[in-house]
Amino acid sequence: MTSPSAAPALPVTGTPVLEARSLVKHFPVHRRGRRTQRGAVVHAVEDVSIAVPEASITAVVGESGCGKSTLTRMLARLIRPTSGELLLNGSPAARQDAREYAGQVQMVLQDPFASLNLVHTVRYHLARPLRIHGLGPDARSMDDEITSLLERVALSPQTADKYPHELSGGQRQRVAIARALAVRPRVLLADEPVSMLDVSIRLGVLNLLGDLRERERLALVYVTHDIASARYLGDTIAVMYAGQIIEQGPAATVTDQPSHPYTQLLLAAAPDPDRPSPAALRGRGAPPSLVSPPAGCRFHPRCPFAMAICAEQAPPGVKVAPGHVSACWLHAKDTDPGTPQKPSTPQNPGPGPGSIPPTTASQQDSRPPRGEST
Amino acid sequence: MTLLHVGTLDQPAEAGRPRPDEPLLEVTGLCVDYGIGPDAVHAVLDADLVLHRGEVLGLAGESGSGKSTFAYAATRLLRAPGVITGGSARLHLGQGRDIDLLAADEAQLRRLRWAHVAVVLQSAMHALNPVMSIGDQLGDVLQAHRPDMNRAARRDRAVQLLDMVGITADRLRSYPHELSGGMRQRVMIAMALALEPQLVIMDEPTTALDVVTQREILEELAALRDRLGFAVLFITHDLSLLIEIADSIAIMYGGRIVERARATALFRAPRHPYTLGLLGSFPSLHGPRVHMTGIAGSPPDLRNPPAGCPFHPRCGYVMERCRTELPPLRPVVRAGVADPRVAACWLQDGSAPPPAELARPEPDPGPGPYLSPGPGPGPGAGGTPAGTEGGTP
Repeated sequence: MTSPSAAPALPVTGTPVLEARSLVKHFPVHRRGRRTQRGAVVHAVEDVSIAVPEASITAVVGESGCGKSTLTRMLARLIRPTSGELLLNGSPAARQDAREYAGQVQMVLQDPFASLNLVHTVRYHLARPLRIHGLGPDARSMDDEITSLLERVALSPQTADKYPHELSGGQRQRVAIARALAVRPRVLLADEPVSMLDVSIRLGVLNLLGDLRERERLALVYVTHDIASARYLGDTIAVMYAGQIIEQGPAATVTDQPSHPYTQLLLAAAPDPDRPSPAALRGRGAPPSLVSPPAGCRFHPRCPFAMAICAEQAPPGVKVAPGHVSACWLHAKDTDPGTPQKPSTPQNPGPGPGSIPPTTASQQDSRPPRGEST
Repeated sequence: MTLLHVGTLDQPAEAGRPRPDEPLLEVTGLCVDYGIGPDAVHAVLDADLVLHRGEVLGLAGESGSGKSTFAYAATRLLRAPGVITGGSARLHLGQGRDIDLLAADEAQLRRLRWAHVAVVLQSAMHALNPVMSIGDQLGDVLQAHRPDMNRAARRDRAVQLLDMVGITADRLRSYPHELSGGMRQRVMIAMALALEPQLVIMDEPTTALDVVTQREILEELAALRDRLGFAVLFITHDLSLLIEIADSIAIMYGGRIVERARATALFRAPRHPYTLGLLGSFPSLHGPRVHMTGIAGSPPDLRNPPAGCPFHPRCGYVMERCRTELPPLRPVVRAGVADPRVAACWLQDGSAPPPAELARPEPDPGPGPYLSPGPGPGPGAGGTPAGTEGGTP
């Protein structure tokens, strides 16, 4: 891999391998007692559409409870959406049976200490999906297949006969990735794949995912709470808040010129030793209850720029630049695409994201180069 | 003491400035084993550290590097099978009183703990008692250590303490499960500060929290430190966070402290290859997206540590000497250049010029990290231009 930004900034050409259209997931609330509301639900994911093209990485960023894991589980068809449609290679996924779907879409879980079975060797973990999907007909081809899988995740063939406790965290996560690759999927869903690993080995696993995208043209969904790693690995970043995608666009653009106030807040709060002065947090507080989410924009109770309309109507997805969509009323009347909201150069991000209201920013800001630096 | 809501504080008091000439805790030669006999694992080896009054000292390292063990041993909170096998930890209480925590008896420790040294743990859900309201838990501390306070005074103090961390008094009767993760951690901080300790040990206090909550709590902590003047030993694996909030940082690897420096100096000009590798493990939020490599290999197995320098199997600059001889933590020697730094690395012993990336010039002291604001705006006020409030078009 030469650079994580080697892929095109906007690889949304042709049919996406996996596409979700207006996915909704409501979990019913079962509460006892007098205050039971009939039909109360947790609005975990609300009207989320996402397209994952071949050989690209879509990073889904959000805080805990924003619905990013629920979304991943729906994409993996582990839970059934309340409504919405899932398309695999352009055809509705609902028509395919579960095994056929799992042969195309695989998951890597957060905790490799829990996702591997302690009483089985690595060989067992890798042979099982091969056997279930009929990919290793005889013992010899099974062995070859396992060796090649281990090589693809940069592990030695001897690893096959080890038990999970003999491996380090990074090696375990590589085994989990190899297991997901065993069935030759086209989509890999990685839910916080490095957050349980030591910091010095996280990049190794992230780089492996980047390599797989390039070498095997895998479509990857990288779910994380860490916006810096999303910027590093992702081609596209989708930011989720309270069950909705509130901003989506090329990774470097979303982090360098965030257009949604929540994205600006996330960036201001993220650890950043390069920051010359502390960034002002604009929009303190906590995400809303998802049982009764606020009307209109779900961020409006915290939003420093909230207007009357924000409390009444949910904002539409507004195109702020090519491929960069922001669900915010601040941009709805702004017909000039490509208006950056955060006057910044990398070395001197000024007073921090969000301290200039977007409407004034458009008048005073020079337009930074669009897209990604390579 | 006046207790204001932290959000209303304007200029930070002088209380919270680090005072480099006044050591608060001096740890020398601390060694900790897990287990006894030939199979004992050496979790901390010959660690020296000085924490000054009012200073935020960050202790960074990966899991198993011994950072928590160090802090718990130095304060005698370590449980079996942890065994302190050597060293001293002198706590200077002021007015010439000082005490070696490692030699203190239980009665002395009982008086020191909480009153002088308090701890904030990572998992607030497990550290708080689930069947007691938070008001009762705060009252409990005061009842044990301040027997002269009556019930009403304890309640008033509990209200003050909660107010200090931005929690309203009506939460006194809440139980831990009724609070959010951020609020629970705030309660933990309020409890730690209940007796106005001089030293607060924070073991990954914000790791389980979301970034926005984490930032809010760190800002509050900064304001409280400025006002109350306690010193903090902040343990975390997140070096990028530490650089923002700590005055100085010690890096641990394989049970040893491998580098110690001011936070900005450590960030701008690391002297140990492990520090350099760790700094290169955090993707940046700015600038071109460049390929990063992290550090090859895995952290050492302490049951079977490598000979010589513990980092040598992963080090890109490894020399023959590193495989056999352990580099001591000592001042960096450079021909012709005064370098005020310490590092445990053979590259820095002056026998040959170190690689350029390990010999960057020492940055100007400048304004420190914002947890210790110098003259100028306090935390949270930094650089917000006037007239941008309420940016509703």
